[in-house]
Amino acid sequence: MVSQLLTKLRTKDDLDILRGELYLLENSLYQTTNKYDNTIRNDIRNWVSDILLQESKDIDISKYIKDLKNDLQEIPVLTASMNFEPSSSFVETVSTWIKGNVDERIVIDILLNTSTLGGVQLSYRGKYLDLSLRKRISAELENVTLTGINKPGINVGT
Amino acid sequence: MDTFEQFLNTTGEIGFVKRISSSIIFCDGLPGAKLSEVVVFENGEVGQVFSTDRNLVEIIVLSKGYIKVGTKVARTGQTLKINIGSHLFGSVMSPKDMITFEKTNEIENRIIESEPPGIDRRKNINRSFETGVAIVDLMLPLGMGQRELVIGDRKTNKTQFILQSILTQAQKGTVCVYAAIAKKRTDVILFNKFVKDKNIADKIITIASYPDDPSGLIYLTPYVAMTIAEYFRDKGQDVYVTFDDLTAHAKYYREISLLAGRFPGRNSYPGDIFYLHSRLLERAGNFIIQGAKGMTGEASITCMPIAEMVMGDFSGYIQTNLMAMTDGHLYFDRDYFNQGKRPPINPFLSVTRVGRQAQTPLLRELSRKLTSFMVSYEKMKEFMHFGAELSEESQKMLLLGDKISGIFEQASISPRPYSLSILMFTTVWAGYWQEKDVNGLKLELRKLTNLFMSNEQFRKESENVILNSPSFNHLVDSMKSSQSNIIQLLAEIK
Repeated sequence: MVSQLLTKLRTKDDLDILRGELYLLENSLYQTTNKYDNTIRNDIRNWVSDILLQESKDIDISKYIKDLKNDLQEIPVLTASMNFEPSSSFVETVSTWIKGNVDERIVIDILLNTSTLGGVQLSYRGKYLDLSLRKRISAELENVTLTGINKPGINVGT
Repeated sequence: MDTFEQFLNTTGEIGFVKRISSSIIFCDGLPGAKLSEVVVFENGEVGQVFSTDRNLVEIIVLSKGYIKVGTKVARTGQTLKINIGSHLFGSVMSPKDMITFEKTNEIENRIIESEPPGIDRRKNINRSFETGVAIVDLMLPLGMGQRELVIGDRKTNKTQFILQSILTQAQKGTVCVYAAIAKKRTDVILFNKFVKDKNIADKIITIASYPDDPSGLIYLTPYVAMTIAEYFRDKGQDVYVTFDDLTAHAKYYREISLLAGRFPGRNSYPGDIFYLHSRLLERAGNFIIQGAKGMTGEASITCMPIAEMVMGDFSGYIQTNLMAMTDGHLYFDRDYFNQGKRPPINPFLSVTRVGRQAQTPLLRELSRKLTSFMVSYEKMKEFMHFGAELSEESQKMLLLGDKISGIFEQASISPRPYSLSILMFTTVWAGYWQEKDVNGLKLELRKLTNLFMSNEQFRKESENVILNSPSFNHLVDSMKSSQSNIIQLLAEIK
């Protein structure tokens, strides 16, 4: 069964933070008796600790964390290069759509790349799709130049 | 738009570097990557797919650039191709400089991994290959299209022999391709200087990789050289290709395989090391070439890989592998070298499997006689170690043996024409200069060499006599009859 934690992750940053939290928790298991309780109460985000406590109620907590860490390794990442830094509501909208239509575990890795000019460059599981404005403009410019040179009667450089 | 982005858009696939292990890079993504496909890194570096598994693609890096974890990788959809053309003559090229993705009309592109031609495209070896080294030409003859291993300890004049044979062949018009595999830069510079000094640059192509090059590039060097050889073969030219040396090549491939986590076999070499070299050497041979208007011709790739051995150990893994896949070997004996013999080729431990079939009946007879005599001479020398008292006949035989050994003494870069070697041997065999000792004979032979090289008429007449002699005995008789004339001519030389 997929943990609720995985479905709630939006971005790669969320994924990395969760990994860090699980690391802290796993370490605290083998320290003093109260260390685990202190960590889950103070060092972990509330919504994460709620889900953790709920899902690990009747099972071995160390096994639960180990399985969760393994599942995190398998999380598919969609990399998106854009020329602006998106707002959290924008990310929320995109992520909801992707989770609903592609895979509920998917997270987005947003990279800022101003050279794209507009649009987005996507890569997912080794597949690459360039929907950037830069590509469109480059293609258009190539056509314009070639058409200009090939046209009879036009003297280039005069 | 740069090349990297073009490839990304063309193939629609991307990968990211996950792990770097010296010259091997592991990357995820690239779901459609194929074996031996060329990939391009974000920073312009080039690599080749070495192996693929479910999650990762193993890539050999072919350039020296700095690649870090997270770098993007794009497929090109192409296997490795190189630019080939006559512009390569006289230059020292690195395999990296020749890799190309573009198609031009002036220069031909070729894939470096090609399947060896089948038996329907091969022809018997029927033309002799002159090396310019008397002991090889007379006792261990080679043929055009033969694959002959040059094997010996380090610093036993193996490369000198290769230079001599390259010079001889280049002067005869053969295209020579020299692959320097992980050689010192100074060695390659010296080779290039030799080529320029001897004015044979228009026939020589040098493909060089150096020890500080990426292992992947060193691994490609002999394949690039062989691809060039195939290009000129297909143009109907005879090609002579040398790999200096394949033991170094095997070591670099072992490094790559171990880094890639392949299971190590004997001496830690990977299991496919035999396949690696055999598929390379199988591309040499004598071939039927389809010319224009349905005409067929013949063109050969004569291949001489070099193998280095340790303390004369014939049983090394790579050495025995190479012996198994070639048509013989020339053994450069460390003991002979220490005794001052030049070239230090041991004819009794050397083998030529197909060269004899390319000889004329006269030369075959001469070679057989010479070999059998030298074997008897060696036996007699061993017998002498017991302090035995020898008959007059045996003493004569020993003296003649010493003199014939003297014929084979040859300075480093002084190729000797086939006919001169035959002339020298026949004159000694016919009993010229019987009263002279070995040193005196060497002086006379030097005079004979000068006469042969400087006097065109003498050269032509000698060659005619050799050409028109039906048998060795006939040739010896002809030499006996013209002894006084030759001696007189030699006496005029100071």
